[in-house]
Amino acid sequence: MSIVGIDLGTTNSLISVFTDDGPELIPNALGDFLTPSAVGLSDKGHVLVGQAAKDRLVTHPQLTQSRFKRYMGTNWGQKLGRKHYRAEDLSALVLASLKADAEAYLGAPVERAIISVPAYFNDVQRKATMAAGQIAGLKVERLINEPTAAALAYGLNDKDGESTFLVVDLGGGTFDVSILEMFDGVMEVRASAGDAFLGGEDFTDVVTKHFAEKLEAPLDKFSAKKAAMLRDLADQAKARLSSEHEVSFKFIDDKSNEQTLSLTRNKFEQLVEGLLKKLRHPIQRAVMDAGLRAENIDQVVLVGGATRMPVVRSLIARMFKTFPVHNINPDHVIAMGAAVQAGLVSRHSALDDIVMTDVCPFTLGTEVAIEIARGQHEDGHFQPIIERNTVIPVSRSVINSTIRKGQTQLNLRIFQGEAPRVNNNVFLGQVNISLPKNNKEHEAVDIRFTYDVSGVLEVLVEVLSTKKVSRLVIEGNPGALTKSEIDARFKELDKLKVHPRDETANVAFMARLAKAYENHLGDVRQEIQHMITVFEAVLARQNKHEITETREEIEPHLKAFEDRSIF
Amino acid sequence: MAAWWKVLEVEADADLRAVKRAYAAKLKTIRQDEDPKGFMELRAAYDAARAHISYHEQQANDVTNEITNESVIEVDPDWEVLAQDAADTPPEISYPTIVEQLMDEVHTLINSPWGAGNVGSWTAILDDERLDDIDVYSDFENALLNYMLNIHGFFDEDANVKPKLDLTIAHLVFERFGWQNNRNSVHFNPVVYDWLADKFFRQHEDATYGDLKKIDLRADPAHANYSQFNQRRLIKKPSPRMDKFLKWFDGNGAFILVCLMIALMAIYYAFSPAANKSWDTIYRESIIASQTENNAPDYFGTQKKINLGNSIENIADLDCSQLEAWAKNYTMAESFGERPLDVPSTNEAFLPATDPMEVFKNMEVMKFEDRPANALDEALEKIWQDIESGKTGEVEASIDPAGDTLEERFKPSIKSPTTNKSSIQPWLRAKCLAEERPKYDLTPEE
Repeated sequence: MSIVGIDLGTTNSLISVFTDDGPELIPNALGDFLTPSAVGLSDKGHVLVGQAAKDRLVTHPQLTQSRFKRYMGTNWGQKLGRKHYRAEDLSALVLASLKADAEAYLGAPVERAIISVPAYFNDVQRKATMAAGQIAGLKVERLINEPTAAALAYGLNDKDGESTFLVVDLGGGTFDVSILEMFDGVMEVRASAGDAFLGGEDFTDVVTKHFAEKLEAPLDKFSAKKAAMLRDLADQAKARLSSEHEVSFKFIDDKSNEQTLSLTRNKFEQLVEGLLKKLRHPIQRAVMDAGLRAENIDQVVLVGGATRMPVVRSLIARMFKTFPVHNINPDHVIAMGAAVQAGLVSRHSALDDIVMTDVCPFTLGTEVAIEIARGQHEDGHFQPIIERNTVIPVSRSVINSTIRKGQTQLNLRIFQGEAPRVNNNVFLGQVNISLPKNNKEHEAVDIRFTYDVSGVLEVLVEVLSTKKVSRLVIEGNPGALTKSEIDARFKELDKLKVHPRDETANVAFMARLAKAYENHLGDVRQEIQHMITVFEAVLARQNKHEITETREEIEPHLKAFEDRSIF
Repeated sequence: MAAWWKVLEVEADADLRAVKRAYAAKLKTIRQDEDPKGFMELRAAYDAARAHISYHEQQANDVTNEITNESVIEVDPDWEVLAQDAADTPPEISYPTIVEQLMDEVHTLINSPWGAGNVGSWTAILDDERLDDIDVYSDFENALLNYMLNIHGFFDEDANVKPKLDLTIAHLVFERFGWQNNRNSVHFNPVVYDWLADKFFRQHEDATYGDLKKIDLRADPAHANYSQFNQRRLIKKPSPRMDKFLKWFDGNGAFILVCLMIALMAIYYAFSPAANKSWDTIYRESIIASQTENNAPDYFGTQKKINLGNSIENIADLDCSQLEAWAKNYTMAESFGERPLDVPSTNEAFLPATDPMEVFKNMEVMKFEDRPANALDEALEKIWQDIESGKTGEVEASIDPAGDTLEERFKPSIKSPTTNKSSIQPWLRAKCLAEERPKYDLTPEE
């Protein structure tokens, strides 16, 4: 039984497997490798995942959700129909859909998976991703950092070489930079940096806002449908600008007026200037952390769909005075790397001479009080225990003592970040430790942080006088799910009716028709209405062969209409 | 833990290549997830080996550099040919040159009067496209950091330099380089950043960095870099006796200060000749005296300094109304002798008993018939030049009641820490000229 690799992205997700011929992507029910990370409810209340849900964002914005990866590990939640979903639940539905695709493709049950996460995901977000896997009924063998996965995919092409390369991973919602060194089949991450809230979606947002301004209507004044439609068009415009210098499209506003909006590449570049500035900082930081100069970097690799934008490419080229590499499709490369990792974990014989080591991209530590004057303590200081860019797995410990003699309780709070004061860092959790009453001296504890290969933290606290060890179950973080909650959610989601997989193509096609209907007026709309009627009639007869035939017949006409609205 | 060469099974003088090969071979026999301990031991050995090798390389390099330097001085076989070659090939712009150019810009900007708060100029430097290159950027960042530390007296324990950047600019710089988030990187020294943040943001109790103000920077807890750095900046705990005194003073300080002031005033009142006269008398005497004789009793101090309370560091902020207000103050002072400028002239309690008109009658009315039409512009131009060339500071006026002419009696100047005092008299004068009303010369009639 094989382990699958999953790239759970903000915008699109992919699943892959490692075969004797190397990593292989698995197509979904529509035959695509990319499954949009969108979840929605069909009119019958069935769960829809992927392209159908993505198209229904425009027609049924209340029943559909996308871009939830950004809320992993937070208390964010959204109602779809009558049920409340957290980001973990929605991600689990995407994972379950991918799992079904893989099972159909491999003809065997899939239970174990490697899931990629942004290198800059914090501990809470990582645990949330693992929880999503569990809710989807997967055993998450390991998490892999996205840029590392990309490096694995690239590294396989040149496993005997010795080189240093930098991976710039600009995905839909997150941005990561990693510097890797390869020698003798060892792939070593030297430094990672990033921004967990910067990605292609932000570029789309900027364009959407610009269009809303052009229409002289604030975005929040739009109806949910129109806002979703405008965003959808902005996204297409952004993608087109990668190959064209100007793009125009028709937009039907709230008052059913047809408006033509256009955007040139120059204007786009102006609009995203601020975002580009945010890109350069993590890159600089990773390079400086690794102590490298541009000349030491042999290759710059671009990963993630958003790196298709010429502005991003030229920024990277200017920074490194070299042309970045993107031989492997930037949308596929992470999933391919996740498959390689899956191969490594399952000890695939083709990967015998490859080893990979990764780092912890941020500093982990505890809150301490320090003595500022005799007998005066000030708390809220951050004590780093594992420094950022330390190779993992790693285990480090410090010995701390109580502030006062006779203290019987110790409240240990765990943080992640680079700021000197804990309240500027990310709170991960806390634990209360009981101490023996000791009025003669300060009780001391040994705090050990262990960061495993998946980037998940374990904290052990040993009271030195009694040798009593307590393992920290990180609790009290509002964003994290407990074991029992995960189990409960697994059972709940299991009960949900997921739309039958073999009907996915039809549902997706119907959603696409409905979206096209919304996007057009007049005669064209009439014609699309006609297509919908025809297709509905065919569907009602339930003849699979006939349905496929009709779909294939209508598709080119629909495509022609779609292309006509954006030019 | 075993020595690294034993763990890696290499010679103790192995080179980097050999160490890497050994590490790679060993690594392939260890499962990181199943044997984290074994992995960590191997990794520690590898890190130690690399540190050892790079240290020795560094030393070897230093030696080579010394040798090369010497050889350059001693032997110069075809010096002229080399020089000729150098002249023929256009000099390649190297990174240090670019960084030096940029640092020159920074230096000029920071020393210009409005450089501390000029968002436009700072953004222009920080957004300079030469900084697109990652190497230039790193070098510039380091250079800028060092420069900031230098001019703010980091390396001089006794210096207490005021921040040379406005809050906005300090924010801009800190955010651009992410200095607030660089603490735990191996290549950054947290103490340096904290010190600088403290310098810029402490007095503002700034919201973003507000937390920093409370940090006792010298007592950075258990930080890895802590021990390597600048031990002399470590906290000195006050001695118990001093501590006790400070605590006592905290409670009673205000009372003691009040007592001291009362005592000082009592002493002054008992011994000062002026103290026995009424304020009115003193004032009148001084005015009359100054108008009649040069050696007037000097109750107010002959060279009285009056702080106009205006700083022209930000020339852009100066508007005409402010200039006018000053000019009026000056003319007012002119009319009533050496009245303190901040006392409104209509305050009767302070007016001389003499009717102002009486004073006027004694004055020679001076009209500036032949003033050049563009005198104001010229004078203002000069002020601008002064300010641009870095003569900046607080505007201050000194009053000398014994002076014969207006210029002598009233000397406004720009007090600057960096340059000589430069008089802004021509400007004020021009300002007066520009106003369409008669000016009075205070020279008493012979």
